[in-house]
Amino acid sequence: MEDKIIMALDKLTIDQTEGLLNEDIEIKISPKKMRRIKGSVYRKIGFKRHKGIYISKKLAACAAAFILLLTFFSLMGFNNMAAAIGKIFGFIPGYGIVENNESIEYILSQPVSAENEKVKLSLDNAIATKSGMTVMFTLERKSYDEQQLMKDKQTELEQHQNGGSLSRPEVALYAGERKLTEYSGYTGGGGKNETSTFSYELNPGDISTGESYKLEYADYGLSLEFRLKSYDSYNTLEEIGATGYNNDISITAVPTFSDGQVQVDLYAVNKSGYILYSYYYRADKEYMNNVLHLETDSGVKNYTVPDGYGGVNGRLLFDIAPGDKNFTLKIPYIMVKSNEEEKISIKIPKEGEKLTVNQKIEFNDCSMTIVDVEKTLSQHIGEYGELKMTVKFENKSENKIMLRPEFIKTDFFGNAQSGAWSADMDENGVYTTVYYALDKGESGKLRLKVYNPTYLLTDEYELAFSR
Amino acid sequence: MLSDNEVVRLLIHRSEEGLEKLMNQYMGFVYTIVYGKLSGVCNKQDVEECVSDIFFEVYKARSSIDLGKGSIKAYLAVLSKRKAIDIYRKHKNGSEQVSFDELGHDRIASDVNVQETVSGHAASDVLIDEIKALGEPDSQIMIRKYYFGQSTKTIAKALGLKDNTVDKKVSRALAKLKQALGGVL
Repeated sequence: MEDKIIMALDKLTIDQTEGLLNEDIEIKISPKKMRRIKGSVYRKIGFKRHKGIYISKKLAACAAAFILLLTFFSLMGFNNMAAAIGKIFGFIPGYGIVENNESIEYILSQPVSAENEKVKLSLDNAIATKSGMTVMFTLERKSYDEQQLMKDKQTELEQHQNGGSLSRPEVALYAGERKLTEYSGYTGGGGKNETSTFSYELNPGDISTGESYKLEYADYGLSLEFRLKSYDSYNTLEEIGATGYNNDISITAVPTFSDGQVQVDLYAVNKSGYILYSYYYRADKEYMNNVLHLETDSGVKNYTVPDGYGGVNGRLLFDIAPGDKNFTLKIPYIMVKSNEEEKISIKIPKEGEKLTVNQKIEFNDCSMTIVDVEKTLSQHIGEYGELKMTVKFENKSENKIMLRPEFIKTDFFGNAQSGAWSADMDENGVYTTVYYALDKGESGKLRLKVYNPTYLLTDEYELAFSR
Repeated sequence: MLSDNEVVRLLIHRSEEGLEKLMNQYMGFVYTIVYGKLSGVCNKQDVEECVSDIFFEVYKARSSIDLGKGSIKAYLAVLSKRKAIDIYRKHKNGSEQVSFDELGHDRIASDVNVQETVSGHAASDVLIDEIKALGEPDSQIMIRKYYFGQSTKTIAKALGLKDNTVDKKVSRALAKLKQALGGVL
């Protein structure tokens, strides 16, 4: 009887199978098996495989934040987003998505802050590896005097230029009773708000969710106590939020609703080889009049960006109506940079003379031609005149639009020198003319490094979410 | 979980993403069917290779998927069964290869005449009705055991039952089916 049942079930048609399996039967497969099988499928199709990202222990200890940067800026050379998706993604709100990451152990349990009459100190995030911790904190100056601050910074800079070292804020991390004063990191912003990311080396035994930590900012007499917690892991990016994929770059949108507004935090996983630069066009123009926007039940909403936000991990704000339930974020293009560079040498013509050069520079996705050059005294940027270069670009793909490269003067040996340039753009923000500042009496040849070509990738991301 | 239409749309227009979604949704399902057929005759690598072949087939045939003929789950189930059975037979005397394109038609084995096939289809319909009529969890236990080929232990774990409870239910269900199906099977 059993054999007959098995034989009959083996021969079911599609219709019959539909009838038999019309109820959901939950059947799981281990993530390891799934990864292996996916890898096999991708190999058959011809997709390249993920080679993995190697992070040395020392690096992980010194700067956990760098792990994320590697994820974003990795040039591992594989060009298929899907190949990376069968992994476990860790989501650290306000920080990013880390993938398949075994280095990050814990994150900040919850943000904490403390203040006195001068400043407010806020610990925004903390990321602990097996052997180190990176803390990200903001210092807000309450009585902010821009002129005084500028004077202080100028004095500091002059001291540095005269051989002195820049002063380091006295910020110590306590792991239990153990005090750590040595850190590496950086501070950005300045002015009213200053954000810092400092990394401390710790012993593996110091890292645990049971341990109590303290960040002490001695210069302002403030300290913050905090704890760590595990972070959430997901099998797919969609579990984190609405996700779109184009050109081996995924973008995941995580909305937070408040009265009359939705804040959308964007998180990218980038396997493209490009550096993700921005989710929108950071110029006074929008490409082809196409702008990032949110479609809601009550109509289209434009974005604003909170102070201090932008670029990757962008935070966007939209005003919404109370009755809006369904939302679609449309990102018509993203801005990326390539790490390529080319060195060129251009003859500087006599003043007022225009020289046709048609000098071609080949990048992977675009050919750039310097059509002609002219030495001018129009002083767009240079006190002693500029080399005016008419440029044109030929894109190799319809969906990769070259906007501009960057330029820096080099010496005979190709070493970068100081220099300045400005440019004219067409209606879409694409460079048409570049003015490179010349030194006093400069003639002969101008040697330039042309680098970091910047593109718009014009495949739209459509991220739908609701509340 | 995406709808079938959405998965097919992605497979066609954003094939990499679509394939990824398809595998996330149905990998366990396909693996279980294949494992149920091959675990006794093949090693783990062969089972995984067969599952990989099935998704590869679907990917190649993505533009010809016709949801009017059945759901993706049903397509995958039938393809998985047939692929696994082919591999099973290969271990004995070799067999033909099954492709996704064939699934739109009901295959009639060369050694079975039309009359037998029609009666076989009718018998299968009765069998399905009777399995469904067992009610839950008995119906699911029978599907897991005889369609997916899962062991008593696996079924018991999945449904939160004791092993011997599963065995008893199977035994009673078989008796019911025998009585209900009479001479049909």
